[in-house]
Amino acid sequence: MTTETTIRDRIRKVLAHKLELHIENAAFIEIGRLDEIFGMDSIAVIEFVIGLEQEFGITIPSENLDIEILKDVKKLEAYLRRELNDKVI
Amino acid sequence: MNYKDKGASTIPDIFRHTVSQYPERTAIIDGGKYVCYRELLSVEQRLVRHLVEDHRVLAGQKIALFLPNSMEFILSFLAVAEIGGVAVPLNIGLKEHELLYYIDKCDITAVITFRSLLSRWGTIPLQEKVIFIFADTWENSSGHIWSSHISDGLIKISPPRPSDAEVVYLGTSGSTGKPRIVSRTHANVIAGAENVGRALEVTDEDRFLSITPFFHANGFSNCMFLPIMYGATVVLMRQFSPRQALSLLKEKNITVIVGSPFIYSTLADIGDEPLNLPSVRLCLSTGASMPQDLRKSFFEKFGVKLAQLYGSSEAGTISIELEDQTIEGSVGTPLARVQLKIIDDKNLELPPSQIGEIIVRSPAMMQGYVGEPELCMEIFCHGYFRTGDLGMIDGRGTLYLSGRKKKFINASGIKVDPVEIETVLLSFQKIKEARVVGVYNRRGMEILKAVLVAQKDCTLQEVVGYCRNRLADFKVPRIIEFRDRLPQNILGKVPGNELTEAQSLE
Repeated sequence: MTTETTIRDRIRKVLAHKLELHIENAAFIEIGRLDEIFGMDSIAVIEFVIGLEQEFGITIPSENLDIEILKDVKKLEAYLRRELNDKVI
Repeated sequence: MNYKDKGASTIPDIFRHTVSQYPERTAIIDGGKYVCYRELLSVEQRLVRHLVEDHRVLAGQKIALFLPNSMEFILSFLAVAEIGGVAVPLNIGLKEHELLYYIDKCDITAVITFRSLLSRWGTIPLQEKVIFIFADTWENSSGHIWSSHISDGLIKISPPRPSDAEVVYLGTSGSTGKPRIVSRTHANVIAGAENVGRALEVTDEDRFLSITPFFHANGFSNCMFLPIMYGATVVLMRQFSPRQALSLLKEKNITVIVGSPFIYSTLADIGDEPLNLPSVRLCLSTGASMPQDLRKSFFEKFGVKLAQLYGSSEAGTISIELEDQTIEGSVGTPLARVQLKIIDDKNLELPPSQIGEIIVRSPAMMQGYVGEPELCMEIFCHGYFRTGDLGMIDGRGTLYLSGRKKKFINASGIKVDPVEIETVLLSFQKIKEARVVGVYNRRGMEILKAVLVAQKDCTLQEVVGYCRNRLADFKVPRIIEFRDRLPQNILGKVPGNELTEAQSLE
């Protein structure tokens, strides 16, 4: 069962492995918006999306995706949860 | 190309020559829109009339193009060149303070942009300085410029501009905290595109995938003007996305890609299956040195070899690695009409196989930096441009890069001046000391890291927020590390290598 905690932890892992953003687990729980902790330029967004796709085994249509989803941790968690559930179904 | 026989020496001449040679050839593919060269000229003429009659754009004026890679960008450039103005392509990621710098430095009188990008200009009261011309409403009382019922009778621009008149200003990083602006004439732009076109044997049957932004010197010349000069097709990408790029490569029969190691590494990264790209004949990589692993993984996936292109905003394209056999560290042989020397610290030429600074001279070379004539002594040496790169030439004339003298960080293909970032960081009152360095990520590409000595209550969020309000996002350091003090060597200087090592977690 995929829980919110593990999704968040896996996002943190993607940030560390793909974007070199090493954030303590405790500190990451407090973070609401990713664009508050680094400059989410277009290159970072592409790397982040590729990292999420590889980590979660999903396809993210980044051309049509609302960029707010990638910036807001809660929205991103909800989006990933939905995608993972759809995948299971 | 036989444009010289026809007396073509300016960008409008070249454009007309292309139209006369290939009127029905598709010039631009922008999403679902296809425009042939004959139509492109027709619309460009209506735009010239619109800019001159409705917006009073005059010869000699500096016109900013604040647009993504788009049909509107290409039309604006061609129209401004025809009027005799100077186009100033600007990175649409720049923030208001950065934009204001360009407005003042380049003496910009008008900005061509989309309404959706207007918010990027923030609260700066620009109305007194510049006029905004909205490309999404290029229309007057007679209708939109795309409507054929508007007269496309050409306005006589008098007097015609000479080939040595400035036609474009391109931004590049400096080393003193402020960007520098490169000035190119009609002749420079034409010579640069022709040099590359000949080396690559470009024809009207080629289709270029224009991934590299047109505000970048390489994108401007090799992704935009070069295909137009040869009657080839420009397939536009307004914003890079690897999956969309792969679709275009397959669906639009792309033959040439001009990208960066970052672009190629993301293409190699998505999807697991090898992919056949039968139409692609050239994949040029520029902006940063290419990791060897990437060459291998890209070839394994697509069966196409990546070729390194070496150049600079100031000198244009210098060399292209076109040999079948890849030699590690090589950036190929210099293009025709590019003269190249390696010099030592006393400006004396070095023999083959000795490492020194690379200096170049070519007809594509810039005239100088806008508003900084005093820099000529520093940047030119006996009429050659000092690239600031270190390298050597072997006995066969192959050029190798080994490092750089100039202090800048190559953030995924865009040069960033660390002093500019440090100046912004130090203007934040909670930061006492700041150093910005480049560190290599897992893709083998440079990213920005800031090491700060700050007040105890200074947070990461505050620093990022402060930077984001003042710097384009690509200049905001990816890694921000707080330390109690910066390390110093015996001379009191901060050694860069001690800053690149992580002190943080993991």
